[in-house]
Amino acid sequence: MRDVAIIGTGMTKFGNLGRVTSRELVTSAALEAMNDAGVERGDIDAVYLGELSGDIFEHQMHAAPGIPDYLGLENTPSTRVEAACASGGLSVMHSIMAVAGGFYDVVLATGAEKMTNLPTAHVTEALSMCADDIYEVSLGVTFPGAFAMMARAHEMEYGTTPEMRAAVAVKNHKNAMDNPNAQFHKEITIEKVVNSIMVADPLTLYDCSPITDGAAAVVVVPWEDRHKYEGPAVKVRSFAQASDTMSLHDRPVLTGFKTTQIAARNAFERAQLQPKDIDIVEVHDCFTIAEIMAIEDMGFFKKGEGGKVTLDGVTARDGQIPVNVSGGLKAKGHPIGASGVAQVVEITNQLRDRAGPRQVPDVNIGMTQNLGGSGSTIVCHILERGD
Amino acid sequence: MEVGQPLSVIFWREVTKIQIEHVVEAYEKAINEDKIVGTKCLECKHVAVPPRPICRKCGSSDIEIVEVDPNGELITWTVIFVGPPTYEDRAPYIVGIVELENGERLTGLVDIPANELKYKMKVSATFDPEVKNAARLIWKSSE
Ligand SMILES: [Zn+2]
Repeated sequence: MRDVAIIGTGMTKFGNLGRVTSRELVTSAALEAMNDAGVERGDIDAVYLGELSGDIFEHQMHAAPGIPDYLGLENTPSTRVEAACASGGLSVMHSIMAVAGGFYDVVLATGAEKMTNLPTAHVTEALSMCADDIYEVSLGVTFPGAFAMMARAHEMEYGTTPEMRAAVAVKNHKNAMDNPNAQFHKEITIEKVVNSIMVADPLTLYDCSPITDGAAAVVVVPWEDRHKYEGPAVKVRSFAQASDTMSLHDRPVLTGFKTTQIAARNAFERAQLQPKDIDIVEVHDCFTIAEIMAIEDMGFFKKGEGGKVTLDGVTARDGQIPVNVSGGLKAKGHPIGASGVAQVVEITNQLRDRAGPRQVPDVNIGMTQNLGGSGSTIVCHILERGD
Repeated sequence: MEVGQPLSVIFWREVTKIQIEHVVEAYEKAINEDKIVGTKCLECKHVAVPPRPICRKCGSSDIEIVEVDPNGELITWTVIFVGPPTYEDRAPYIVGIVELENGERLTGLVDIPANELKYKMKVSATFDPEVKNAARLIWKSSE
């Protein structure tokens, strides 16, 4: 097994991007990543694409070959990876595994989603299909609904208040002000979150991530080859993935994700690191409660304290451990398949001191947590500043 | 029929392989007859609801379909205001997770006014005659 480096990043603007296809968006993000890395088109050995559903959003299955097609890389192997909202994280993970295993030397890990083609009700339906179709979706359970049931359980068990959840949204909207690619550049208040319309009680509109178009890409190479290319390298210290039941009701604990606990623990063990060694984190805040549960389950805070520490500013950009400096899914936007890749883009750029106005000083080790469905898939990556 | 006893109409004790492939069908057949079934592991006696092909406790695939007690306690819920197209005209509607008497849990629609909902309130399963399969399950208060 070879050590692996990430040497280039790219992403499109996130938002409602109008008449554009996901393969055009990926092409744009991939070219940016390739230019950043200094790799030529002919260097690319393989492409991975994280995408939830070109099928439903664009009436396009078999989306992966569209990427080498538009990049002018005909005949380059390409693979679509689907794991609900963790599709992007798994695209990166499989790219890393392919390079680590020695099968390829330069891999493009990409992710995309073109969601705004459909009305909200249809997007809600498409996303809900990531839950258990027989025992949940047929009964009207939506994605916000599933997280709302967890938010209520967390509220009953630990006293996590609407204001604590709202503090996640307020922080991430503030962070997104300094991210030119973010969907929203608008600060919000706790009152605005708490008083906005209810989507799935107790989650309001501002507790939820938006419907977004966008793509992201990174270039993955062997660590030993990193100096062959222009882009400053970040080292992949570890990754880990875990699965859980399709239905929420089949899990004994509803106040967090065992999958996050397992994936984070395994990632820490493989990297021989502990939560206190992490300088910066991007977590999957598809809903405000998801960020609170993530920072607890990853081991940064005790179970039940995630809401309080967020309200106290501990996870702010200038806090003890900055969480979602990019703006997170909440304010940067959540083009499903792109989100896991965009987390790696953010951490890579932070560790290369290339995050512009939102650069966090003195960061050496960063971590991502990407979640699929109602936590049925989790993938974590730990990255370290290169030499 | 006594709770916990094999449901003979959908009971394939003799051919385990067919059982494994038909746990969803067994659940749907039963709920269409206003019953909730699970799988009882013949090794460790654990009963899983909804039915599963392999016992989560011991890994055995030696299972049989059994009817379970349709009463339980509401452990979490949400009022959904933005539903998928199939549920749009029903919004707002309530879904919740109920812990059955045997400790297993099941998601269903909840037909109880939102302001009366409380943690661990007693509920029992009822069945929507207008629809088929798992979507029939509606929890009503039994307090
Ligand atoms: Zn068993």
